[in-house]
Amino acid sequence: MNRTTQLGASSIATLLLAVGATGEEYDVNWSASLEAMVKNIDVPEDDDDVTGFFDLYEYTSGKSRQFPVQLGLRDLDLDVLGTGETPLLQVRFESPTSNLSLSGSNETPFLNQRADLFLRHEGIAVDLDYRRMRSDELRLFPNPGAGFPATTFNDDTARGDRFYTQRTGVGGEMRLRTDQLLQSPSDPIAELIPQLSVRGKYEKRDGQRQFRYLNSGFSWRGATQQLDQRVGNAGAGLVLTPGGLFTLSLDVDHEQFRENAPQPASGVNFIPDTDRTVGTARLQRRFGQRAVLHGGFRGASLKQIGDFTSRQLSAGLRDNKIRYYSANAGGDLILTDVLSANAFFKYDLRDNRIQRDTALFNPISGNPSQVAPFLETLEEMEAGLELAYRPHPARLLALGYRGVWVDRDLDFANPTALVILPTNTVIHADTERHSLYLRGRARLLAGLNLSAEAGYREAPETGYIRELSQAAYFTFRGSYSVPISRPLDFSLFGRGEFGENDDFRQLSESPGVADPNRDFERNTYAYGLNASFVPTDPLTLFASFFQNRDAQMFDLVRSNVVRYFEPITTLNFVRDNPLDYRADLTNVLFGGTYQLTERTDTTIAYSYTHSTTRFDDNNATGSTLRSASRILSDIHSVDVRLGHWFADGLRAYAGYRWDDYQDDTTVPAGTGSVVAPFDLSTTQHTFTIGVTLTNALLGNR
Amino acid sequence: MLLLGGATILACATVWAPAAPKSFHRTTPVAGADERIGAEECTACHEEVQGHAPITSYHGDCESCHGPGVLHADSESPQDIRFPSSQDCLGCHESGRTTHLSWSTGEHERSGVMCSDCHNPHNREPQGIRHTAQANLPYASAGSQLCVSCHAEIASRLSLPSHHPVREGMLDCTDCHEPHADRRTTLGGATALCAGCHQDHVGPWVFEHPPVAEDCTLCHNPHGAASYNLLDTNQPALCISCHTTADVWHLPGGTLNGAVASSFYTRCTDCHGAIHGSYEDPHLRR
Repeated sequence: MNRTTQLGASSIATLLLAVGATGEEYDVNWSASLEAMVKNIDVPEDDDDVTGFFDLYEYTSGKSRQFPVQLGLRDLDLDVLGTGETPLLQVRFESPTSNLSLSGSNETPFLNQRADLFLRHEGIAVDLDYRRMRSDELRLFPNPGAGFPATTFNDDTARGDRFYTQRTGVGGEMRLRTDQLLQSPSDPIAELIPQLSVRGKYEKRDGQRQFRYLNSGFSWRGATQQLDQRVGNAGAGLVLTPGGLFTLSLDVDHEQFRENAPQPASGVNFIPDTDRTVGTARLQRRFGQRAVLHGGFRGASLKQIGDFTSRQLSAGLRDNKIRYYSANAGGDLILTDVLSANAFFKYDLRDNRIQRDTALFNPISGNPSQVAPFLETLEEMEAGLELAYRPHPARLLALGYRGVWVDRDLDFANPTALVILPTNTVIHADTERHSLYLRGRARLLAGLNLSAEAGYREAPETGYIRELSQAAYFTFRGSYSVPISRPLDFSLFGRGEFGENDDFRQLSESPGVADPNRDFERNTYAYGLNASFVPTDPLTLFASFFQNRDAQMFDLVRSNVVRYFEPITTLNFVRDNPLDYRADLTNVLFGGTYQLTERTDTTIAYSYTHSTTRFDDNNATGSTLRSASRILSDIHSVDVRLGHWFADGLRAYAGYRWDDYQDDTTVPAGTGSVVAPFDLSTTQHTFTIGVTLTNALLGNR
Repeated sequence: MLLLGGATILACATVWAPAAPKSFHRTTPVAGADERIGAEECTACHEEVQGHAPITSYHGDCESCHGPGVLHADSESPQDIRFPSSQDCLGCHESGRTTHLSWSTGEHERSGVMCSDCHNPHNREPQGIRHTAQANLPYASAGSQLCVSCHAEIASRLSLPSHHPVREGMLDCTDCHEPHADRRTTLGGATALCAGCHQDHVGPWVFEHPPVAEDCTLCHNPHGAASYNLLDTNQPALCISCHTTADVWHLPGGTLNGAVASSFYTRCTDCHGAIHGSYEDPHLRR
């Protein structure tokens, strides 16, 4: 086991220029924290280039180095306040992983950090957002137990390759309130166009990932692929209120997505450059105090531009775009003092406009070509109505209905070639689903609040096997403040859904061979409890618990040949063993805070997350799947903090965090995939010390 | 919850605890309270509210939100003044703005959530976001902590091995969710939201996987999952609950190509790597 230690911190740099100045018109408040961080990491893989579990979201550079030292800025808040403490400029900066630099390391560190800026002045509002984040991906390596012949295995991934995506983005919006800019709410322009806005965003994504695939020789291949993506957005909007009759919001946005990394000449995992243009109109009108209506329309176009694959070019396919149309409406009507109704309607259309009159979609023309049904258009309509009885502001009982209709225009290829026939597709053209539910909320006693919903869904048509054709569901949430002398609060929640789908069947061709049903059953539930208690004034205790179960039952249905062989080969299905899949998730947290003195506080918290997914081993197939495909992981974390205000505006703090991830997910030798993940089990100790300064240190607050 | 100091200091020293249950404040008009007294009289007693100047320049009138105050000023009883309702807020924040166009039929409004449950006009945080430091999501942004103070299950799901980086503070709930809108009527198909950050997964493809075209959540749970890549159900269960497996390809001892035979036991996507869509292979293998 490798023992790695890292000292992290941050550096204070530039943003303390507005040090505590208080003028006649402005208050300037600020706070900033300087933090040093030491990490001690135990990982099973003696290699910096292996992603550990905690690297997935918070990358630690130079894990194997000895005490790399960092200093940095953990957070910074800046507020410029005007009359009545009216916020004029607010800045929030956070850098949870303070990796500005590493002593003894020439690696380029990467920070998770973000900053937000809000500017408000005389009808002008500016919001700016900056973020930089890195997420690492699981690294896989050849599974020696899989027993693949060397001739069919080809991994281009270098052992030192590490897979990650780092995103750096900045975006912003400026809104202009014309009534304030013109300093006259009654100005005709201000009355007609109360708001204008422009916005923009730019993000770059760098990194690399491992792409795993079967090459054209049907041998497995792993390849390292570079990421060099750029996304730019620009948009503008205006709000109209003609005559004060209604509010109409009009927006247009354009996005360019570019993958600048070299694309494989073969077209393998080709990522298209795209342009997306979106136009949106939304309208709302209130009719007195009793009714309000709103509706909208959205049209969007997503189009491949720039590079085309060689196969596209040879097939003459140069027009590849999708159009989306969406419309909605909703309204709320107060019928009487205690009765109200609300309703909604939504329509979506996805129209795939790819140029289909090319050889690429002609299965007779060769391989590759269309095999599966092609989704020409997808239409979805959803509507609902709810009647609410509200005898008291804190009590409500509502009866509602929701309906969903989906129409998939599926095009099946010429049945004289290797194609999937309509009789054996696993997607149906229609979904039709109706739900009836009852929901309510009430404050039954002082401090006791309850809300719940229960309903039943019936689906005469389902598009996918995993859609439920019958299902009952419930949700509830409650909270209670116990009327005792010390604050004691509980809140609990729960939800569940229980249903099945028996609409699908696979049809065998040979006489006398059974046609297996594709029955699918799914029962999920989750519940949790939060509690807090203040037994004495300086002590607060808290705890929470969460449990989730997802149980799925279905049959593994096998075929003698792949389904698209049916036009040329006799296709038969057989029901293999029934499979019971189960996922259990548990999250527990408890801890407390203690005010040791007026100026000293401490917090300790422990959390535990358990995740498991597995098949039942009640038959041979289930047993094999259980051993080859399971998740069993535990995450423990202890967080301790101690802080002390040495003076107004000067606080020092220290913390220790223990994170432990135990992973028993590893694919055992002898079974399973061509590749297997590294063992991600990691123990990580993080020590932090820091100091927080505020403008109060300078005595102005 | 134990809080130290003023608003600026809070950011540094807030300790973690689950939020107290939401309380219902009376927002209905007070009987007999129909005479206004003016902000100057209010501030004579309420010199500060929660450690701050009581009113910002754009919230210039106490009684616009709290109702007429003569009765309360005379009796000094909390029973004679009311808290602002959402309608009070919408009186200024609805018409001519884009934020609340579908608020009236949205989940929060229909569930009885009021503006003041999330926004506190008396603090000085951006958008007046309330502080609710959550022990179960301690490093998330203030806005996300506010959301999970009610949506506790989401905080737990964000603690699972695969999650969007909300608990690390790099994403906010509001990056995906619009808390003021009616989710039932969100414009755009079910994939539109995800496409804003995952352009490389939405194509347009030559060969599509229909669930990808229809709804990302058919396979992914965006809040968190035990499986990698936010898969709602671990592979291969997710795949083989819909797809049949061909003996010649997918079972050990398959006659066509033993090299890929047993891969279906673990991750189908090790071979069908282009599961979101492909320009090369109708079987989404490359």
